[in-house]
Amino acid sequence: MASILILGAKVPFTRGGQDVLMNTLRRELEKRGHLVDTVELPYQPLPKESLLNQAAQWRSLDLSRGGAHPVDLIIATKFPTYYAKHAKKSLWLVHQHRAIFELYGSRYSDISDDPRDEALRRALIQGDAAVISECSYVSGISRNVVQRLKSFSGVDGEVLYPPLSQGNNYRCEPAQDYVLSVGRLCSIKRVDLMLKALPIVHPFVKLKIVGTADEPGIMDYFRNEIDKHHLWDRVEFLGRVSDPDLIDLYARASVVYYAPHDEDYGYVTLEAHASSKPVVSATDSGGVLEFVEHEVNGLVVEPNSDAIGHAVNRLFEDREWAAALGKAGRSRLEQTGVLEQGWDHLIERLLSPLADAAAAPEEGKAA
Amino acid sequence: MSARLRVAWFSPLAGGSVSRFATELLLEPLAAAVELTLFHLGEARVVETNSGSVQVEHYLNAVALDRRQPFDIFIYNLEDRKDCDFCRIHLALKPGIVWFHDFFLSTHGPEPILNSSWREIIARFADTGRSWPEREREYPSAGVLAEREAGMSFLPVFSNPRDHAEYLRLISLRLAGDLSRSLLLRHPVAGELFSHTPSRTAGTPLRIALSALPRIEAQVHQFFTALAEMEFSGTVSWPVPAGEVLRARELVSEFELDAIVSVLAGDGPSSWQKLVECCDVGVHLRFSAFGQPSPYLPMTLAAGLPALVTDFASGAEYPDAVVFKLSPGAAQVAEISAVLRLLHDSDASRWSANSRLYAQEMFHPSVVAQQLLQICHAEQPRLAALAGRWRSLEAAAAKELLRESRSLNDERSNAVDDLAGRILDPVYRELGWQEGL
Repeated sequence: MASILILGAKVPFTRGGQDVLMNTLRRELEKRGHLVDTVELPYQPLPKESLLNQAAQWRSLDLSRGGAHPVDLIIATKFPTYYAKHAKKSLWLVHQHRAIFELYGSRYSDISDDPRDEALRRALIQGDAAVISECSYVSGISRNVVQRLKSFSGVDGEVLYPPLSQGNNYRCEPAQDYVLSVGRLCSIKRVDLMLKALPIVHPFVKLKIVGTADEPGIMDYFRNEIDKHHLWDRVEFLGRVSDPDLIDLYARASVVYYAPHDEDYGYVTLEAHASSKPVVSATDSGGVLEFVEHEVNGLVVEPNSDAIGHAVNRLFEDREWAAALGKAGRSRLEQTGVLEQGWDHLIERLLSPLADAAAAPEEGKAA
Repeated sequence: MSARLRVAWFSPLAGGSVSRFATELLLEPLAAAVELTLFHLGEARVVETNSGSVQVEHYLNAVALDRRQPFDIFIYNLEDRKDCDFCRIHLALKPGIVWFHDFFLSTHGPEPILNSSWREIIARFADTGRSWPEREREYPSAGVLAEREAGMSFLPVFSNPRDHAEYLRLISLRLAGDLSRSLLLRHPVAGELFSHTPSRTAGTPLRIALSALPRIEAQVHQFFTALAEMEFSGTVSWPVPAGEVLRARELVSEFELDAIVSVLAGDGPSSWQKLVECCDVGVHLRFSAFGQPSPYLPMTLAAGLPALVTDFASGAEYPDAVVFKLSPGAAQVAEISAVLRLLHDSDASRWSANSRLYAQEMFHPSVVAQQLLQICHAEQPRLAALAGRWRSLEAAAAKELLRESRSLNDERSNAVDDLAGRILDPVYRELGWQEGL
């Protein structure tokens, strides 16, 4: 048995894949007899000049002991948790600070051409490279994340897909006439594309949106779009829902829409496929495309409302085909091990620095 | 400084941009004369030239490479295309020479420059006593001219005299001291065009290459009116951007010229080069204050073809002896008809000499490369001094960032004695943030 700390950082009052990832990892580690706790500090993306302090705060923590227990291993997840110091640091990377890496130069980055911003960008690039390179083990939650790490920080990592938190509880029921969108409501998730596509989607189709606003003014923007296109009776905002309710919503959906910009991984895709539902996604949706294949288990189209509207219509016009795509998604998931059975391998890899530590004294003796 | 100048050259290396075309033409002579690294929006690779290998890097590696071994000069190709956005971003991170192939920009640009405080940054560059721009303020964009890009360059260079004139008239006087200098450097055209031999004999049908956008300012309707009225018996090839094909076809149909005018999807210098090699006349229409499709007319002239040009803005810059100038307005139709009749009734060879001589002197890649190298060598001491000052600005910016970070802490930790000093400073030192970023 090892004593392990899982490190997390999140914007207070928001909820997303990161929470699911931390909770399920803790649960699975505890199931295997380890002593586990989580360490979380609030993450504030603004003002951007505070990012150095936030990284430094993680660096300054003493995580070598937890009360009477020496900490055997820490598992860092996202920026800036991997700035924490420990002799045995595993990284299961969700993402770095995206605005300075893959989102730099896009509408989703707040880094400007001011030399102070460039100094900030350079500091974090340099800092990330230094602190990630001291990890005993490096992995990422998707191929997309691992490739970014290689491109931007020059560090190799292993892909460890997070299995679904609800494992085999997902089910498929007869489809009702709605498209389901799940996720935080912010511009990078692009729920607005589906909303704007609705006027060209068959009028009997409704849109159910699960998730809470994660950006100032975004609900006003959505409501304006709804008013503009007279969609009052076709769009339903469900906010945050319980796990059983979410499983029900997936089970009865006809189509799941999930087309964020360059997503890290995307639980939503997996949850949809676990429920045997086809996914409509976009050609630039990043990690989502590691699972969704065009006309195999969903539709992958250009990130504009026209293309998305037509894709949704295709699935409603041929429901047998849509169901077949959903089933294909489910059977692929069963092969990849992300339903539930992937945990053993994943934990073995994340805990591999401990195995190395156990081996080290033997080597010492031999020397 | 190394014996050979180290030059960082920024340009898109894919697509139909003028920047890419110029880069490919100048690569060989530049690689022979300087230590060249190409930066683009893509993966690292190596390009082989007769003078050895040229390293190609992603543009975001430029700052790190410059820190490892400083470049003497950064050169940015800039034009009104989305695939040049990365040049628009980076030219403000490491200022240098900006080679303007366009000075009119139809978009406000990529996100990092939408709220750019560049005027304040230049002012801070000129006077280190000034304070840094406010963080939360809005910095509205100036308008359609590439004022920010010119202001943020140590030496603006223009491939189009008209753009250069507009820069001198509208922008340069607003810029401080060392930054007000600018130069003209023409586009290169492919060397092989100069060996093309026009072979048409008098009386055979004319094959026209038309360079114009299907917009009212190009006045294509005047040209089509002339063709219809004179019952033109030759052919016209009209390349337009893919997004303009429908509009162009509608215009052709409106004049019932579908039988003789072919609209070709996709423009760009390479397409135009292929076209002029199989045509007899170039028609370049543009009634616009800014620029013109820059390398196209020079290519027509280099290929030894007679050229009809709107006598306005950039077209007016050409000597009367090398092009047929068309007066914008009512007389244009008659002028076009008269020139086309004249060309129809004469051998091609009659018109080649002057235009080719002019093109040889102005646009041959070896001439342009030589001029560019002269600029680099002549300007290098001044650019080095400016780059040194820019590095000081970068260091000051890093210090200011640290001060801002510390002040955020101070606001929160008044009650606790010097939290930042005790806890965060050692981390800043450890990560190398304290000494300057």
